[in-house]
Amino acid sequence: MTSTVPSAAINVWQPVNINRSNRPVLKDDEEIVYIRDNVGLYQGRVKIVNRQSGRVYLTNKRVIYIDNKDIKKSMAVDIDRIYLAATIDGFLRSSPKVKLYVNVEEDSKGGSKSVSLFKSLDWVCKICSFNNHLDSNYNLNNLPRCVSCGIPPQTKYIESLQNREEETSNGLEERRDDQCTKCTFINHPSLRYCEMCGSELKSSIPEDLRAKLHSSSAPDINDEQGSFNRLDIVLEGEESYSGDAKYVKLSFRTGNEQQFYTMLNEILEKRRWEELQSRGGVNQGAVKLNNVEESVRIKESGIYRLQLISEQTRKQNEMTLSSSLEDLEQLMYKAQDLLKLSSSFNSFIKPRVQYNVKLSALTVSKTSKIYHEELARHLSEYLTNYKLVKSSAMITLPDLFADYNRYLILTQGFGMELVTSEDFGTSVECFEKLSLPVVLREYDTGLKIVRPKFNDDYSAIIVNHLKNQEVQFKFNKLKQSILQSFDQSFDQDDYFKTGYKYFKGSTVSEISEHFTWSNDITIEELKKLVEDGLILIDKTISGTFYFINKITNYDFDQEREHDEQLKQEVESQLIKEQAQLEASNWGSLEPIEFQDVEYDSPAMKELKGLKLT
Amino acid sequence: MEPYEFPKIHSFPPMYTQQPNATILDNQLGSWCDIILSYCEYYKISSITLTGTVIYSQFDDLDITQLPPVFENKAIDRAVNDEFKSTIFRHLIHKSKKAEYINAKSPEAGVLIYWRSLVDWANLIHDFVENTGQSGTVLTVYELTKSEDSGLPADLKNFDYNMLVKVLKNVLIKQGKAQILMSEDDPEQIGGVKIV
Repeated sequence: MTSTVPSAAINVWQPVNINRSNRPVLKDDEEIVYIRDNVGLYQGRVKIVNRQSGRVYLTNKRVIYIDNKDIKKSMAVDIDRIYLAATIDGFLRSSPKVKLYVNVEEDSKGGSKSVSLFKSLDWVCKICSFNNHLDSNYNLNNLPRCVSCGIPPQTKYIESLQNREEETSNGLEERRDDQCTKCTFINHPSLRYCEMCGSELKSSIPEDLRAKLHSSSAPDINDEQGSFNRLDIVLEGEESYSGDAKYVKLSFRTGNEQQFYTMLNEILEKRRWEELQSRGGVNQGAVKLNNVEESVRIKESGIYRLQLISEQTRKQNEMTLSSSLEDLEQLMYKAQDLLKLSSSFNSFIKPRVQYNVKLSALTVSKTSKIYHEELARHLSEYLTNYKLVKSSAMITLPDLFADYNRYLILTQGFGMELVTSEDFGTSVECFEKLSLPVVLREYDTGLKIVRPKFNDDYSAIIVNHLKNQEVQFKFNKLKQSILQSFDQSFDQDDYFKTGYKYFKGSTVSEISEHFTWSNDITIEELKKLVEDGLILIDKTISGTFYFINKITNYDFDQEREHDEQLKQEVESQLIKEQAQLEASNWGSLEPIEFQDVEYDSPAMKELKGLKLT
Repeated sequence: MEPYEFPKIHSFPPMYTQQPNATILDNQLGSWCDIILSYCEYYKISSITLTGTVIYSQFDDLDITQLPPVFENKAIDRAVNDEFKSTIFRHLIHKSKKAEYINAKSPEAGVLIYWRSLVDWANLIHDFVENTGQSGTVLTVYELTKSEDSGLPADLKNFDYNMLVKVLKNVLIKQGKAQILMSEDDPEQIGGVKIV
């Protein structure tokens, strides 16, 4: 293996500063775009020795290679040097690669002079005699056009100007610093621009200081080249390229070269655009057109190829469509349609519940400090108007949250911003602070409910309800037995006999239904009552039933007396019903219908008032 | 014989579930004890198993397997579970002190129900012996419980042997009113009793 020192490589590769954590030190305005590990370097067609396993950092200014073994082997290529990139697919054992075509100066001795100039230059267009200005660091091979007429200047002309500039700056003594180089007007020494023609004056800073400043701000390539092959680049073989162009290759051992390639292309594209702009080759307000993605070369043939082509066009169309949506005006235009569409859905969500009282919508913005308090007030308003209308009413937090948001949609339609659970949580905590008519309460088990403030204890209500249930049951049972004594065929199928065999107590669901509570609430309330000994439970395989307390100090004799009274009430009620039926003219032929009636007799009232101790 | 009429609370479904509240449970157990005692008194039942099966009744013409079960109510489809039953009996034995295990070492053998206290039983026996002028004479167990023509009060008829032993040992002997002679055939059995 003959190892050679490449001539072009030294021009291309530059040393990199690396920080202690083995990452490259970036220049000003430089940022890392993409990082990839397991990358090897090639100069032309041959490998670069000892640079076969490293990371590649793609920044907006450089392509940096950091060697994994020896960070001293790290180096970089300036993006400015790269004028073209291409991918090479992997094949069998050869990894996919990205080819970077680089500008290598023909004349390596005068690198800095022929490639770029660090001083700015003014030139007069030979065609239209417009006075153009050339920024520093321009490229002689690619000179900008005249801003006025668009004709590029001849390279020779610029070179001659350049030489003259150098000559004049060398023979500086004869000219005063404050004399304008263009119009020869002698300006005041403190001025930076000529008073007559506006061109920049030579500064009054001493020449040697300026030189120092200059060299420190812009690293001189000459210096780097002074130490020959400082990067110690050694190739595995003779440096050779396929074709005339010089290039380096990055071999992506673990793939992903495509991503690197597209990103590099983006950067190159951007660079070129910026360059064009700086040269004045772009009209004001011009918009850069995105290149249509390069169509993938289709290798197949026949019908399959046709299919692929149509597929490709379809994809392109799709892209065009989706990119056009990015246009804001387009979107605003669409927004109108979207609004129309959403309002057409409103008919589907016609509220099933009619809200008779209109609540004013909450108009406070979410970011406002009083938002949570206002939301709490609105919630309370909503609750007192729709949800907690009965004195025994209460609602669990999840139910309230869902119902409230549903209400918002029903009354204000889609597009309404819903209340988030966080805001909701904060707001319900505010109830007490704002002394609203609803309060938040938490059961021992952690179940949270909201209920009207004035009602603090539901135990009496529940106990009364249970008592009523029993009296109601007895009333119906008595009625049924009396009816049966008149008419033996009354209960042929034993429906009432089994149904009214004994008072079965009340279940959770029955109580929930009666109070329109959620089951959770009922369970919690009943649990509390059972623990307090106010009600009793009856657990059987058919379920859990709740009863009033008859075990402690209960007077069964008194109950019997009340039952007797109740019996008389039933009888009189039946007689009344019979009379009504006869009066209504079709009654007598019909059997007496049995109904579970809501009945409230004096005896019952008394029963309800039975005091429990 | 008319079947025993249970009190109304026997038809109250929550009675068959052990109540969580301590006060209520205490009342509930008290109610159950009352039911058991009055049930046993009605049928003159002296001993009963922990599951509520009647072991012995003084009515010799009574089929104890046909008695309405105390821990069950067919009308409301409820029955006390075994766990709660033993809770009730523990309450009856230790709290109310109206019952005792026949054999403290094996509770499953059943309990003696004191619907009449042991002292009252002792007085009954003592009065009977005294009234019939048999003080100081040795009487057999048969004479004390079974004999037909000796003026034996109805309450003592078919008196449970286990109960009799309890009455003698726990009351009369302690009061110094009785002496026991063990049987010659079986040293565990009482052969004769002398009451003074």
